Amino acid sequence: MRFRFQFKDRTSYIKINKWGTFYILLTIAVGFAATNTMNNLLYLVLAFLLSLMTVSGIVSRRNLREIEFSVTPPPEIYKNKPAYFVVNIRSRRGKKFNIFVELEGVRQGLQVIGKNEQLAIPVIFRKRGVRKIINFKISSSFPFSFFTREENFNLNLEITVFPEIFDVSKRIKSFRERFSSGEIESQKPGTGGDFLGLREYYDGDPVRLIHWKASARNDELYTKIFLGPGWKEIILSEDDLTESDFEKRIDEMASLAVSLLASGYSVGIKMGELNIPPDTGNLQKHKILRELALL
Amino acid sequence: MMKILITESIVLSFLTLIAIFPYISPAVTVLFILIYGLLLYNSLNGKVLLKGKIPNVISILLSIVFLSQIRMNNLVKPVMYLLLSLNAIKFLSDKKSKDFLQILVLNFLIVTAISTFTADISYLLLLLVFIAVAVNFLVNINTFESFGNQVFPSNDFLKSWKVSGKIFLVSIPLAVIFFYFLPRSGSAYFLGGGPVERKIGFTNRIDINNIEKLLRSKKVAFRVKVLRGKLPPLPYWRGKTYEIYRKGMWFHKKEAVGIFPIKRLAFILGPKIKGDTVIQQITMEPGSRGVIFGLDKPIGGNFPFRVYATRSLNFKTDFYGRRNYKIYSVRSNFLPDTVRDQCLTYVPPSLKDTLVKLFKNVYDKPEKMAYKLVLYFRSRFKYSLNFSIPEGENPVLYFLTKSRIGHCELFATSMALILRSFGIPTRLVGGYLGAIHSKIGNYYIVRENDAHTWVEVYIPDKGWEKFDPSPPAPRKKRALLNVSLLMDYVKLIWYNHVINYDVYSQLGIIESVSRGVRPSLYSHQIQSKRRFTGLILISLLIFVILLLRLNKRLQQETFYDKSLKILKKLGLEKYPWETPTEFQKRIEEESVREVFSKITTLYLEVEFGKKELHFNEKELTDQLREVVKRAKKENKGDSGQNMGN
Repeated sequence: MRFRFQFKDRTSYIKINKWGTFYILLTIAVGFAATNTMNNLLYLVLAFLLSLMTVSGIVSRRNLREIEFSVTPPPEIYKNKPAYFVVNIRSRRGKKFNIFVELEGVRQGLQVIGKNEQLAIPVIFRKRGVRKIINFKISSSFPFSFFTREENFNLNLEITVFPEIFDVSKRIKSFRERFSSGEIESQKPGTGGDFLGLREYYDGDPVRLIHWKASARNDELYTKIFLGPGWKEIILSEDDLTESDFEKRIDEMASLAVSLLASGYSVGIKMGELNIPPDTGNLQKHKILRELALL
Repeated sequence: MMKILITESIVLSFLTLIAIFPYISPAVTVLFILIYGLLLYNSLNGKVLLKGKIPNVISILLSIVFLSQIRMNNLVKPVMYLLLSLNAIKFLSDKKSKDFLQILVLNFLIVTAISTFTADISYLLLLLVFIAVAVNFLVNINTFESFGNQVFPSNDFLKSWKVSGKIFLVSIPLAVIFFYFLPRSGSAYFLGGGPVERKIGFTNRIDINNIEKLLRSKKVAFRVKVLRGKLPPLPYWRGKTYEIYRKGMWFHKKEAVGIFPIKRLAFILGPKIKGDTVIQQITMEPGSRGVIFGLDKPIGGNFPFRVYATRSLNFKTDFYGRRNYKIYSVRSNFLPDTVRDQCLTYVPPSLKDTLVKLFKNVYDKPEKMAYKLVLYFRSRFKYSLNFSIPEGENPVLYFLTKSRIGHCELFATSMALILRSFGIPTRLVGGYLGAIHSKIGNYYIVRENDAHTWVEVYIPDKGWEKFDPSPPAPRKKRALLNVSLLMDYVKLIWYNHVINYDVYSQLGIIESVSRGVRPSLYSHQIQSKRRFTGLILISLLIFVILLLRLNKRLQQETFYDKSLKILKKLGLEKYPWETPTEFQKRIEEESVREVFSKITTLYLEVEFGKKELHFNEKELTDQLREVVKRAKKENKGDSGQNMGN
């Protein structure tokens, strides 16, 4: 049996478990015996049964109230790979016991929630693209396993699931061979050559490239950019792909791009209408992955 | 974790086993102690003796065996043996969380079944200990069910006790409220209560050969609280009258003259008795079988009763359990009544001639003759319980002519038969004589060995006069130890407020609530009014304390919640998953964020620190309101300008 309560910011459910139903039936039976025999000791037992049922209801309600939480998605979420969502959870008053946190069907338990607890929930997404994570559940059957209380929060969290990345190291070799004939000098920024200038810091830039002085002066982070020593520019096209299935081709493209970027190449892609000019760094990687995810 | 659950389930099982020890045979108890011990050893070592469906098959077979032994007069014991056996089988098989719950249910049923055997206060102790362990057991099962066997370091065991202890303590006052407010019915719906065993009860007959059992028992018969008036130094507690004498036995003549319905107070109709009124609250132990005891001579009471012509009182129906009631009595030796019957002068013919021959020299007017006989018995006879009457002898004649030693029953019977032989109507009254005063609680204890029989003689123009031919019994130590008195007082409270609590008591509470505001002439009512006022004052005090605490909490919450409401006007809403600081950082309007950051800091300091509120939060909320208003105006102005552009 499940009861639903709709609130402004959440939906609550109370489910009577198998043993809860049994407990209720037992209470009715003792009540029947008490009224039938007029035995006050049975009334006493009945009073305790009712009292414990009430206290269990109050305790279970308090156990799920005044819980604050925040859900932080990982910076990169790939298809078919566990993405660890960081859940910071804390109790505003007292300790909470035997709490289960559920995100996208993945449940994790916390035996005690105190002032600040953190847990990482591994969620595996089977499809790439933009997803809305809506449901975040906190549930508990504390204290007696008779009733399960569940609070459902609407998160409205938007995430992008990148295509699946698999090992393409062997293919990278063939790309290297392609460049061995004649290297093209590049004027693209890299990390090894002469200092080119500063730009705003983007997520994923290596810390060692941060220009601390400039950052301190302007109260904002700046990244140093250098002239690359010898940039190998690759524009991946559909001809480079071996897979036949569209989804798999996207995964392959993403895997190649990520691998090549990691190897220091300047990578651009051409796939259907999608055309990303070659570039290096984390920003480029994110750009490619996001565009491929939305394709 | 598993070991903790196994140990706790064994503790519960041992607890119930000890509790039912008095009600089952000792051999069975020893057998189960051995079984449980063995099972504990096995279970802790992780050994599973019964696998698969074998435990289920054994359980079904045992159920058939024990349930087939159920008879109407032997209802509970086979069920108890069955529950014990099923419990043992549970330990033999593999255990999951549901098995632990089943063990708990089996033991709970045993504890519930014990309530049909006892009414003693020790049951409360058993119940409290059982529930305390059971609550912890349930909390541990919940953790086991949620996290399996791997969790639970040893110090968590103490933590679980801390949590379950709180739950248990909160459940006690709530259970008290439930107990007193659960609706009671006036009568049982189907089966009804069975008779409670007692050595001897006040039945409709007295067997003079069999009275010893009662007189040797030290059990408490009833407890008396005097609400108004004063008891005589040696109080006679009137019970039942016996009019018919046949074959060495006295019988009560069932001749009710009136039945009084359920009323707060009903007075027996009849001639008025002169004397001081004494109002008593009597708590009767089970076994009176409906007989109502009260100070000699009763005139009314607050219960539905049946009055016999001889002014002995009975509950409307035979009643086997405990009961407390209020009875009004008048201290007097006379009962102005004219009721007479042939049976009141009947003596077996063979005995009559002998008695006339023996006592013709004391024949006189009824009153004088009765006095003479009392003097005669008290001076020449001895009271004792240690005597024997040879087989074949008439007990009365043997007592009068040979032994001259006996108990009150023989004295009263002899005097009554002597008077009857001379045509003077006489009857026996069965009741109790004397009482022990308990300083703790200021009430009187009447025990079974205070049971007494005396004589009532019909004196023309006066009515029935009380005579007691028995010489004072050589009583050993009358005073009870203070510890015993304290224990007895606890029992009195237990019986009065728990065991005897019924629909009338419930109505009484409602009545006393309505009466509490009305002025009263009776001192006991004033007393109860005072008690009631005290109760109200205490409740009010608790209420005020709770209100103040709640108010403090509300103040903390409302000033922050108020601020949130104000911010809503700007379209800013705090998500439940946002911390207050996160929300504050999200506010774009600088002036609003500045004021709100102060509110957030104060809120966090009060909520998580030890800071108290000093009402300056009102200033802050006012400030916020103003800032928000200004921001809103500016926003409107901006949008207006934009529109203009």
